Amino acid sequence: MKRFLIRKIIFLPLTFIGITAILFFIINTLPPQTLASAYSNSEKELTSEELNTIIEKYDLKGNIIKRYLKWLSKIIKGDFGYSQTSKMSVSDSIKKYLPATIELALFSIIPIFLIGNYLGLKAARKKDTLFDKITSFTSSFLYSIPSFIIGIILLFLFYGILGIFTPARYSIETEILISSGFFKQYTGFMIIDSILNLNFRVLLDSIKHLILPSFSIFLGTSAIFIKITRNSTIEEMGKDYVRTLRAKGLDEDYIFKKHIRRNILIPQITVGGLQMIRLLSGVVITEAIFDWPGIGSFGVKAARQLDISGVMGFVIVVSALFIIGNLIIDLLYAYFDPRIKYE
Amino acid sequence: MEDLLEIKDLSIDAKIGNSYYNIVNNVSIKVKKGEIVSIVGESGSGKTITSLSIIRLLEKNLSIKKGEIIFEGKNLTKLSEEEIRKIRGKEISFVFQEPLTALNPVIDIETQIAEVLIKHQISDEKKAIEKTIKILERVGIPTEKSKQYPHNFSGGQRQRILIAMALIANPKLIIADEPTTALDVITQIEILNLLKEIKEEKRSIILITHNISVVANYSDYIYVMYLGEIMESGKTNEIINNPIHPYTKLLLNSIITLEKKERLKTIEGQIPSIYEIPKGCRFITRCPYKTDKCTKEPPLIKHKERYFRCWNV
Amino acid sequence: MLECLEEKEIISIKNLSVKYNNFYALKDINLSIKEREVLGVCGESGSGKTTFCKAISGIERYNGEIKFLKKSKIDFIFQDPSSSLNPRMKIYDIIQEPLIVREKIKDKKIINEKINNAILEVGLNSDLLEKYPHQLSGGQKQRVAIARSLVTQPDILICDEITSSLDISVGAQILNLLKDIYQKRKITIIFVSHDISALYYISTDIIILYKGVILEEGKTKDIIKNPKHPYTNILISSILTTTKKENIEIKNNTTKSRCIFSDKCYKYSKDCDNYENQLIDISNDHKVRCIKYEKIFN
Repeated sequence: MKRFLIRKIIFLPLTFIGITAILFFIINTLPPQTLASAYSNSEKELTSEELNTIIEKYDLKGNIIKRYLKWLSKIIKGDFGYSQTSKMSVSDSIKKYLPATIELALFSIIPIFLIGNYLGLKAARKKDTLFDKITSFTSSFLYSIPSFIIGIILLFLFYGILGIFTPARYSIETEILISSGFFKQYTGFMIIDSILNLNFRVLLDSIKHLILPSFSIFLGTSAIFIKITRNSTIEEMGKDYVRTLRAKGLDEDYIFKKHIRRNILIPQITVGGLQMIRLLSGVVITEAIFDWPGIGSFGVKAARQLDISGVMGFVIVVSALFIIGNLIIDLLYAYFDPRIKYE
Repeated sequence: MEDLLEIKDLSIDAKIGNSYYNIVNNVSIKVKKGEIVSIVGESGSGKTITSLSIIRLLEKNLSIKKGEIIFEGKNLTKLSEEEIRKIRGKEISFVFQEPLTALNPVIDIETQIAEVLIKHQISDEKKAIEKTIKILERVGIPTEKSKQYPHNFSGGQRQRILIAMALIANPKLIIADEPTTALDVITQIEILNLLKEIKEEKRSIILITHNISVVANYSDYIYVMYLGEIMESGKTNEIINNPIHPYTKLLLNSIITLEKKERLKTIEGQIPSIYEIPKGCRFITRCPYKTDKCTKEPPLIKHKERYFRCWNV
Repeated sequence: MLECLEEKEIISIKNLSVKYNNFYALKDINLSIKEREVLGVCGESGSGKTTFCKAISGIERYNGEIKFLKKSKIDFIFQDPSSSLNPRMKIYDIIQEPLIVREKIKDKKIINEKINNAILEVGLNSDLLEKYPHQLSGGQKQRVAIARSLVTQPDILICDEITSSLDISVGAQILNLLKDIYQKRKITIIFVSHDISALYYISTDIIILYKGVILEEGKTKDIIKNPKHPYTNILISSILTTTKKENIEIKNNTTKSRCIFSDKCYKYSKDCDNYENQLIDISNDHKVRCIKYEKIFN
């Protein structure tokens, strides 16, 4: 097990280098002039002098390997360059936007796991009954609706008509508190920060703003988790060891809670984990609809405005999250399934 | 001596699609205290289903059409689900055929054995673990391995773990379904000797197998089943040395013994499926002694201590 | 019981051993397999019998020497017919495959003829050719596997536990079939089984494998009627006889002996601790790896 961990950790930087290399080389298939115009602030066409200045400044010409290594050494120090879109360094932008996405992702994945698990197990035990059919149909139906429609409908209903929830991450009052310095953002996670600031109003405000977007995500994506839970449970129910358990005189509830539940963890972790990773990379559409200042919307804006440093920063961060996420999934496998021994 | 278990005229049907197919027909089996009774037959003869019906572990599409299962005076077919659950694992236990898959792969074996006692409220957790260690010792599993998982053990060891699970609540009757298939000879002998020890404790065992030579030395009484019916039954040495029914004779003939030299006499063809049950005597498609009489179902005839179902004896 | 009258050696095995990481799957194997011999390999799980088959077929790395004294075609039949037959292919195609791939026959007429002959030889009806494996019973599937091997006219046939997943009565049919095939063709068979009664019925010579080592070897008659190793005796006790048998005891000894069976042996005593674990000659062809051999047979 230790050897497995060590091997994986050694591979992390290698994978990282691989990703950054591919990224760098792809971007540099564009000629230096095009890259240069992307780096400039002005609207009008640039003279060749101005282009050359930019090319010099941002090191856009020359031996590609040397430039890659130079760029890589900056990345490792955390210097991703300057982002046109957010008008601050890319690393600052990431620090600003990533926590919002992570907070939303976590807030969404928890009901997906808990409620999805409950619904899936119940549907499996009540296979082919009305409950099973309705759950199946509803979740599949919601999954197949494009996420922006769910988002818009929810927003329309709860914001437009009922006025209970509002978009964005926090209210204007909280915004003022932050910008005036009265509310310190220690971590960038509103829930944690509001507890640290002992400000329960902001806590409630943040939670209130999280509810609608996470509910939208839940409706649109929980179908997979429910289905995998249901199908794995049905598969387990037909296995030999369940027959042994019944022969021992154990009751059905106990069999499900103590035995079957542990055997469906592996497929659940796979599916749930991958879903979590996808949420972390920024559910762009949901963020757009609910005006959520997350990494997804940052990435899209940067791409639209040809903010090369911004885009590269975005890709690197998301890839890093993906690699780490997969490592965590592998570790969870080994923890929950004693048959898996990474040697 | 009074019977511990009596199965009377049991018939079981299976519902497949919209039709019903007969799986078990008029089976009667008696088990006395401290007796080892074997049910012998080819795959597809209905022996496993008959024994599963004792503790009502049949698949959803199987149902008992008629018959009674009397255990210590109680009719098991009339008990509620909760009452029969109290009997499973405690009064009557079952050792399944595939040691590989019969255990939960993600829970350690100590827990899996101890939970029988805990859930039946025989012992609290501490006592249950103590008893588990003792029973592991008894069946020959190194006790240091008790917290390990099924895949850490060999096939023979897993079979012993299943037996430990079946023994721990001191049941009166143990049903063992092919307990020695896929095990090597040494382990087979060890497990059969273990079963013999259990019998000596005045417990009863029903042994299910397709291999009659395995049970020749270990059972008191044999029931020969074919396609859902009892073809012959009697004391072991009588069945082995003096078989009456053609099927029993052919089964014994197809077994290699030291006295055999020439060609093995085998049974022509193969056992029909439940969709093709013949009219009349069920063995009619493969019997070398069949006559016109056999198109009518032969009754179960009693002869001294033995029963058989054939017109031509 | 079959007897082999040929003297020509076809496979020469010298000092064969197979080592995995830190243990020996096979050790010290020396055999001379004659043409038209039916070599019964009696072994249980962990005995090395499958490794033995793999080494001879050339799909396992080994130390030592395996020499074929004649160019021979080898074919392999496995224990589980359900996994050795492709569930997506019709029986006809399954039997056809080796003819096309190995024999490279292109003529459809010849292929047809060979397949029909093979199907008849294994006692099956030609209308099975259009069916799929899942429509056949275990015994029928195993016959198809045999047909598939026979169709290429092999010189050496290796059968690895081919009757073990079948009922006794069905297995008996397969054994009869194998005997017929043997008597009809000039073929050498290596028959692996944990069931010594099957070996009694079909082999000319027997070797007893236990934890990678040969404990006893010889002609079938000698091994079965006059076993010298305690382990062989235990195996034979599992054969049905009409006389009631003594219950064999399986021991749990703590030994310092080099003998690999000593910890379970009912004949173990202190003298065994000095035994060098070498093969002892009893008579021609009959060898045993035990010093207690004098006092075995009842």
